[in-house]
Amino acid sequence: MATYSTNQFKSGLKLILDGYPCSILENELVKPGKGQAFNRVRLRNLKTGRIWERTFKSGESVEAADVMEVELQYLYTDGEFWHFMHSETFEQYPADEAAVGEEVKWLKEEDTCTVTLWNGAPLSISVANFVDLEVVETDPGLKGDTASGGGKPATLSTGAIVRVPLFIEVGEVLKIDTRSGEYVARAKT
Amino acid sequence: MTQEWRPRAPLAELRRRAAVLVVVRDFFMRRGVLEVETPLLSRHTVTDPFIGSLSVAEIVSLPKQTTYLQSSPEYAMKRLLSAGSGPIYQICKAFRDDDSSARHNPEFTLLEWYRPEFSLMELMDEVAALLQAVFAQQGQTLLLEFKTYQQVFEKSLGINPHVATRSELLALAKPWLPSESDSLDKKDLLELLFSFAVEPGFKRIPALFVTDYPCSMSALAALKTDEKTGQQVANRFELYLHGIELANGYHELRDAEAHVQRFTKDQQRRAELGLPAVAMDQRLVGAVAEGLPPCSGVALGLDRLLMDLSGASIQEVLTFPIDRA
Repeated sequence: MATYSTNQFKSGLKLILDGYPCSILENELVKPGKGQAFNRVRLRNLKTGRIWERTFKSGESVEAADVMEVELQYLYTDGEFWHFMHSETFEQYPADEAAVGEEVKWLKEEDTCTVTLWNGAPLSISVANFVDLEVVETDPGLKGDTASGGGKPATLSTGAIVRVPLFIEVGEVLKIDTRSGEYVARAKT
Repeated sequence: MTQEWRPRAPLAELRRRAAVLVVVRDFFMRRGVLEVETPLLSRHTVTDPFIGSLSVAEIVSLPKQTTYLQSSPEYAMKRLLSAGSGPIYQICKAFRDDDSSARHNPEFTLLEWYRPEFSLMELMDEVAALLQAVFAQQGQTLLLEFKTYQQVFEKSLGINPHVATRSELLALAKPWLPSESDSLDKKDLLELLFSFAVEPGFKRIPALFVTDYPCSMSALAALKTDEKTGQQVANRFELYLHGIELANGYHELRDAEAHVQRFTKDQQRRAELGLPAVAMDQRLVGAVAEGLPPCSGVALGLDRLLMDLSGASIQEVLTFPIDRA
């Protein structure tokens, strides 16, 4: 079992705490002049996304988490799992609902995602910052209206609903910022 | 990577350090305090369980034994005091094998001095006068406050640290406890609470002397009885600048037998915690038995003083902190 000692703690280090894989966000050494030193650590629980604060006695060892990030191509979903594939090894990785989480609404077949693997299984996924998605449903476009500040909802091929300008029509492909969930522009064809 | 040969501290910071050293030496010269040097490399080190000493593998002149880089010049300076040196000060490097942080580097500079016949209050006045001289030279001023350990502890946590039980402290410490807390004794819990709940309140205080520590934290300070409360306390102070521990002073313990008892207690605690055994320094015990004059002494972290003057981290006031050394 690989372990890390507190003197190796730094942001980004992956540990197992209470059975959960966690990533260190901040590590602060708290040391009374002549007393027991402690490390006060802020961590993100990679399974739940929650932020934890923990104290360790300096010198203590903690189990390392086998966590790595890989670029994988999204293939398809069978309803229960979302299947990803490594483009060189062709190895496939099924991700469950908890792992795909909110990102599912931007997930388009053949797109490449960053997948966090824990002990070789997907823990979470992260789609690209910008994705191109087709409009499958929206109110009819208003010809000539390219400047109006107003907007309307549009449903995309993945099921996501975003606010788009009035001139956008069904069948158009749009560039979306997945971090804010906002329309950016018409995708270049 | 290619820039790692460069010093971390800007040149202005090196000039500030040089200017502060001039003020310090001038201050002690005017007051008739003798500058001394003692070994950085020695056969013995401190028994304190939580001071990590750096050991050096066998050296040619001392075959078949470990030598240590000194965590402070305290023991050697006390041997000088017992030999009749009178008031002495030293500016030297000290070493502690701990994690690095924005305020810790394994090698750092200490200013340590001892004043025969001084009470702890007189020594605190002298520390204050020295700081005023340094700050004045830097075109800065410093406001000082004095509080007892009990006052600051009660203000933050509502409990008297001298009489609180381990279980009361354990309950208060709950938000900050490590997963394994069985090995933490009452002293460890007081220190944990002080670090996490009390010290953060010092950040806005330019300079604060905390006095009258719990007896369990006496190290080599003499004990005294508080006149008002009848409580026995350690005659020790710590000075904080903006929440950073700068200096640690004692009215020094002079009883050789008490030294042996405290060192033995440290050794037992080391054994309980599975820490390496450290032999006690019989030369210090011999010097104290011969007669350490009544005195007060203080160790002050010079790098931290420079940190306070510039608002920088310790790395930014050192030429080559450990990652560039």
